[in-house]
Formats: sequence, structure tokens, C-alpha cells
Amino acid sequence: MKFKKLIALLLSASMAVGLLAGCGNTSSGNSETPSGEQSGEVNNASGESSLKGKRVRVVIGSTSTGGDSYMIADMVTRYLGEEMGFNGKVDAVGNAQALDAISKADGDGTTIMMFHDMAFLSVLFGAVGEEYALENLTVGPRIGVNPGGCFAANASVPYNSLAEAAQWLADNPSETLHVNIESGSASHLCFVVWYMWAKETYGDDVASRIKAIVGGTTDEKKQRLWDGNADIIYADYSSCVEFTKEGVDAQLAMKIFDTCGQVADESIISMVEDGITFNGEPFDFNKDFFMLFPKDMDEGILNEITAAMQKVCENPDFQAEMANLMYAAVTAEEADLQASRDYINAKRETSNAIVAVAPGLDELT
Amino acid sequence: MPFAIGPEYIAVALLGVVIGIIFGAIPGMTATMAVAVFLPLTYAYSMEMALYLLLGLYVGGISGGLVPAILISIPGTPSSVCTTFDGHPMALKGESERALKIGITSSFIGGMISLVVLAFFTPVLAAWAIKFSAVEKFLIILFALTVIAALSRGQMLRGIWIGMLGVLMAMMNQFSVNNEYRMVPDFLKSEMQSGFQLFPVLIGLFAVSEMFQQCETGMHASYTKEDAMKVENKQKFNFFRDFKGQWINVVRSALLGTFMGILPGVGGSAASLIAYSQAKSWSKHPELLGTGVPEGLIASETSNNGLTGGALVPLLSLGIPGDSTTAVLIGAFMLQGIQVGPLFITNNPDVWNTVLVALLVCNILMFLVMFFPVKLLAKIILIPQERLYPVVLMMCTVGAYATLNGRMFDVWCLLFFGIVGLLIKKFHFPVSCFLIGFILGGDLEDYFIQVLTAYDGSLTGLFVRPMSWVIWALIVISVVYAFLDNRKAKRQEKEAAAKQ
Repeated sequence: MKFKKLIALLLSASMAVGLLAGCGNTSSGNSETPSGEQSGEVNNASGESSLKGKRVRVVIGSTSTGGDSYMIADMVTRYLGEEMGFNGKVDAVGNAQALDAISKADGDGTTIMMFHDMAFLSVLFGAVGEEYALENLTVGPRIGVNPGGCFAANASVPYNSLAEAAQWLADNPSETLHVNIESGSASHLCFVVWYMWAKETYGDDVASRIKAIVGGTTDEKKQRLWDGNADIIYADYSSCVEFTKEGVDAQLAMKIFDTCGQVADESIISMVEDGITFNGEPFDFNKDFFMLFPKDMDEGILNEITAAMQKVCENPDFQAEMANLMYAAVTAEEADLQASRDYINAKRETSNAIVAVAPGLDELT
Repeated sequence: MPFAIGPEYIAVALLGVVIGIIFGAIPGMTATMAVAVFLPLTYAYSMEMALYLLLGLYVGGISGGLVPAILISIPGTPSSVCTTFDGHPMALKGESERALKIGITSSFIGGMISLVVLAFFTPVLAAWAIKFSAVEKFLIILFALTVIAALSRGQMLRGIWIGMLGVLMAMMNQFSVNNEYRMVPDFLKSEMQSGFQLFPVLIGLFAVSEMFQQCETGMHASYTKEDAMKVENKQKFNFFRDFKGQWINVVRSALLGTFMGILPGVGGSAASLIAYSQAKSWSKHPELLGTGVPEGLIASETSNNGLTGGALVPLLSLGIPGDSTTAVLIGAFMLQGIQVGPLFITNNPDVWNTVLVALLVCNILMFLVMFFPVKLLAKIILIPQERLYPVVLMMCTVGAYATLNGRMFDVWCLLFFGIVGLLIKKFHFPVSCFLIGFILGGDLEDYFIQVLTAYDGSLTGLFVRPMSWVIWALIVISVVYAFLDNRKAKRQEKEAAAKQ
């Protein structure tokens, strides 16, 4: 009996160890290219895609499967998978986890991170460590744009834009505005630009009555708006537009204003049109989605992915599918590797200039 | 009233239900995972077909959790934690088949009651749900926490202490308001940004700690055939006898589950905890709950399936998911180009009707699929533990690894919390109280911060809204009751000791 128990215990232990060892294998595909080996060519010797028949894990910086990050990554993965012949799956793991996964992944293209500006903004705002700075990763091609980051308030409020909101604060010295944003994200950046503009235009008193509420998903932000715990929220245009239509209950009804980029809906004012500036320049901030790879990414495979992405960008079905969800595809030229890197780096520099002079969260909250 | 129904839809729903039950029954795999895994499959489906599959996975996933909870005392899902309190003791008494049938029937009734609520009261309830601000949600979580006092009967101080330790451990993460890490060593910062994940903690505390304990017993004590569990079916399931006198419990628990589902961000665990504690408070024999009586099992299972219909109310009428699984369902609607929100029912009556019919079909299928093969399921308890536990350990490890789509840290957490669970048991603290503190700790803090933010750092906000007074009253009643019950238990203990 004791012998049987010992055997059972040993079997359990070996099974657990086997599983632990298997789980610890970070490579997500059956790569035949040794890690770090550089192919140096756009195609492999047979002229086929290097990722053909492989499983590719796409990590995104959001944990939601209903937001723009998942939707865009999922669409791109499907079209790119068809183009390159790989079997891709999107994992919504969150920003820190995605950055961690991509920084530790093999540079064979079997792990790709697809995310937007928050990937570098979170480093600039100090939400994640410097080890995830773009210098320590490889920036890949751009994959799409969501121009619909915007501010929303209850339909009954007396202001119709951020500029009017600041004016309203100036006219009503006893009032305070609570704005719900997410730390280390595009909303954080857009908010501090408006805050600094209001400070510059109306002075410290008005600025001190603009308070940030930090954190929460879009759903939680909406609830804070309906609760009356937030006066203005930052959200995605597509997630709020339903609440601006006729027939919506008064407590739920919203007005949308100051999109950070330029949406197709002309009835909605953008931050540029509202006159919000940073250093005297109009502030325009689309949410740009792009790919990230580990630092030692195989250049040849990266070029293959970029070329395939450029083809996907020209696919009318892909463009239509993106437009259907109110997102915009980038052109093949914009998805070019060098053009993408220049664009993302320039955008990071602009963001860095804002972050460098922006007040900290302790002052804003 | 057009809606989609047909053999192909029922077949897809059946597939969803069966896979959902399997996901729910494997510790660490959840309904949310099942829906997320199968979401890409629905690209090729019509909206109606996708709904049948996804709702099948949802209903099956929530229901499947009762199987391991009853048979091996490991909750398959967080919302079946309370099922272990009475379900497993029933199984130990040789009534595993009866316990399973009671659990399945309760799940079915809970699902049907919540479906009726969803069908007839959605717009009204949605309007009502948004009146619940962070203040009320904080108090509801606090109310759910009072179950700790009720559960630690006879050792209340120990229960509260270990429960608060659970709350504290839930706060080991990066504080989103200022990006500062709390109680996290430097080398764990990248893994601990969002803290310990629930599933490795849950499975570690319940399953791995139990296995450690069994290993210890097996190695140091003689293990004979007489010790092996015998399923004799001492008492067979009889619907009328087992549910006699339970109808108030059934309706109360189902409505509590539905109500918790309607409130976004409160969650299924809180639903079953509150339902269980209410069942105990209103019971004629509260001392029997936790010893293996149908009352507690019915409360837990009715409420967690009551959640299914409830969680769809805010999803379909506000565009806000009621729980983590319905959050994934939003993706399915978006992929089909349907915007869920205040105009959803008006603009999409066909889809709305299909949701109701699909939920009805999935609940019936869940009942049929689980109820009749129950004899086979119940035999799991006959498998010798030295053969069963390695398989369970393997599933637990896979489940933990899959928590965040493949992260080794969660597997180490599983082992770590297995050791924590073992130590908690060794020092005679109630492990369930620690888990409840951990599950509710995050939400408790979130809503507390929201209240403080809304009222400029003042705590007066917790007392100014009339709706909050009602919840405060419930909290006070619950605490006073638990205190008196604890005193009674101690007195009974003393009397029993004196008699000896």
C-alpha cells in the first residue's frame, strides 16, 4: 500500500513538474529558426512566408475584448494571417503584461504586440518602467487609426466644448469640474493639454477647479457620469454615440465634444476646431495603432510582416470593415516600416514635450 | 414576435452548454474563458447563431462550477464558493447524487426566474440600476463581507482577522490613481501590476492546500480501504421533499442573484455570498448550514444562475456589462455591427427576442445535460484520491496558467496560495473567510475611493443618500445577528464541554 502511495505521489510530482516545464516555454509557435538568428531577407529560401503554418500570438495592451484595441488587433490578425498563412490569436492581456510578454518573446515573429500610443505614453507618464521604452523594443508597421477619442458630458450641461467648459468655470467661480481619465493613456495626455490651455487662458483659479478622477474602464466612466460623480469623461466616440440619439432617457443622454482627432461626424467639434493648443500649436491626437516586436527581432521576418501589412491596408474589405467600426485604415505608404518608425518616434517626442511640462497627478486630482 | 429557432440553433446551443459545463467544471476555467475562446468562432455565424452558442457557453459555464464544488470541495467558478459549504458535506455523507440534483435543479430555477425578470422588467430595472451610485455599491460589497462574520460561527474574531488579511492581499498591486505600487517587492512589479489573479488564489486555497494536506495524511497515517469514500445514496433526490419549505429561499436567492447581476461591477461571488448569508439569517436552523443541508446549496446555486439573466439587463439596455462574461459578449455584438445600449431593444426587436428564447433553450438544455447523467458524475467521488488528485492538479495548473492567457507567475501563485491555504488551516482559521476578503477586497477599495473622490475626501457621502440608509440597516442587522449567533455557538460549545 505504501508503495502504491509513493508511486502515486511520484506520478503527481512528475506530472506537475512536466506541466511547469511546459508552461515555462515562452515560445508560442513551433519556430524552426533559432532565437536571435537573422535571416536578413524579405522572403525565406523557398519564397514563402516564414510564418506560414505557424501559430502566432498577438498580445494587446487592453484586457477588454470589446474595445478598439481588441477589434483592430483582431481584424488585422485575421487579414494578416490570411496573407501570410499563419494561425493568429489575440490575447487581451493588458498593457504591462503585453509589454512584458513582447520584451521577453523570441524575435521570430510568433509573438506580436499590437497596441496604440499608450504603449509609449505609459512609459512617459511612469505607469510602467523604462525597460519598456521604445528603444528597448522594435517598432513595427502602423496598422490603423481610431480618431474617436473624445470628451462626453451629460446632455443637459450648459457647455458644448472644452473651451466653453473652461469659460463656464470662469463665469461660475463656485463650480468645479470633475473629469474622468485613465492614467498614462491618451486621455491623460489630452486632458493635461486642455488643463494647461485653461491655465494659460483663464489663470490658476479656473485650472485649480478642473479636477481629474483617475482610473476606470469606459463602462465605469459612463456610470460615474450618470451618478453625477464625474462631469466630463474621456471615452471612445463609438462607445458614446448611441447615447446622443433621440429617445435616450434624460439621465443617460450625452453630448460629445472635442474629439482628439478628426472623426467623420462633422457635427462634433474637434480639439483643433475648439482652439485648444499646446505651445501655441493646435492639438491633434489620433489614437494610432502599431505593432511592437522584441528588440532582437529578425529583420527579414519583420520585413515580410510589413509587406503583408501593406497589402492588407490596400484590401478594400479590410478598409470597409475598419470603417464599419468607425476606425480608419492607414495607407500602404504609412504602413511602411521606416515611415511608421519616424511617425511613432515623432509622436512620442511631441508627447514627451507635453509630459515634461504637465502637472503631476497629485496636482490634477 | 419574430425570433430565431430551429434544430441548427438548438444543436449549437447544446454544443455551447456542454463545452460551458466542462469549462465550469474544471477548476480555474470559467464561463468567461469559454465565451472568450469561442468568440472568434462566431465570426462566421449569424448574430442569432452566435447568441445561441455564446449564451449556451455562459449558462453552462456558470452551472458547471457546482460539480467540483460538491464532489471534491473545489469551486469550479468563484460564484460556486458557497456551494462547497453544504454541497461537499452532503457528498461526504453519501448524498453526492442528491446534492448534485438539488444543485442542478436550483441552477435551473434560478436561471428561469432571472429570465422572467429579464423579459419583463429590463427597461425599468436598467433605469433603476443606474441610480445605484458608488456609495450603494460600496455598501453592498460591505454587506457581502458581513458573511464572513456569519461563516465564522464560534470563532468570529479569527474569521474577521483572516478575512481582513484577504482584503489586504487583494490590495497588493499598482494603485491606479497615482501609479504607486503597494506592498509589492521590486522584482515582482511587472507581474503584480494588477495584483494576484483570483483564480490561482481560489484554486490554490481550496484545491492545492487540500492536496498538500492529503499528501501529509497519506505519508504519515495509515490509509486503508475503510477510509475510502462510499457512495451509498443514503437519501435519494426527491424534488417535492427537498424543496419543501424552500420556496422563499429559492425566490429570494434567485432575485438576489438577478439583482446583483443588474448592478454592474458587483459580480456573481457577492451574489452567492449574500444569498447564502441571507439563507442562514432566515433559517429556522442556522446552525445546520455548513453541515450539509440543502438550504445552503439551494441559496448558492439559485443565486449564481439568477445572475445570468440579471447581468444581461445592463448589457442590453445600457451597453454596460453586468459581469466579466457579459463583458466579452459585447464583442460579439460589436462584431455583428450591433450597438448595445439604450436603443437596442427598440432598434433590434428580433435580436432581443432571440436572446430571450436562446436563454430559455440554454437553461433547459443545461438541466437535461446535467441532471440525467448525474449518476456518472457522482462516481467521481469513488475514484481513489491518489488517482483523482494528480488529474485535478494538472487541470488546476492548466487553469492557473490560462488565467492571463499563459503566464508562469500565476502557476507559482497557485503553489504559493496552496501553502498559504495549508497554513491557514493548520492554525485553525476559516480559509473561506480569507478568500471572501480577497474576492471582495478590490471592489471594496475601488468603490470606497470613488466615494471619497465624489465627496472631496469626506466620509459623509456614505450616509447622505436615502438608498444607502437601507443598506446600512441591513449591514447592522447582519452584524448584530452574526454576533448573537456567535455567542450562542460559544455557549453551546461550553455546555457541550460541561456535559462531557
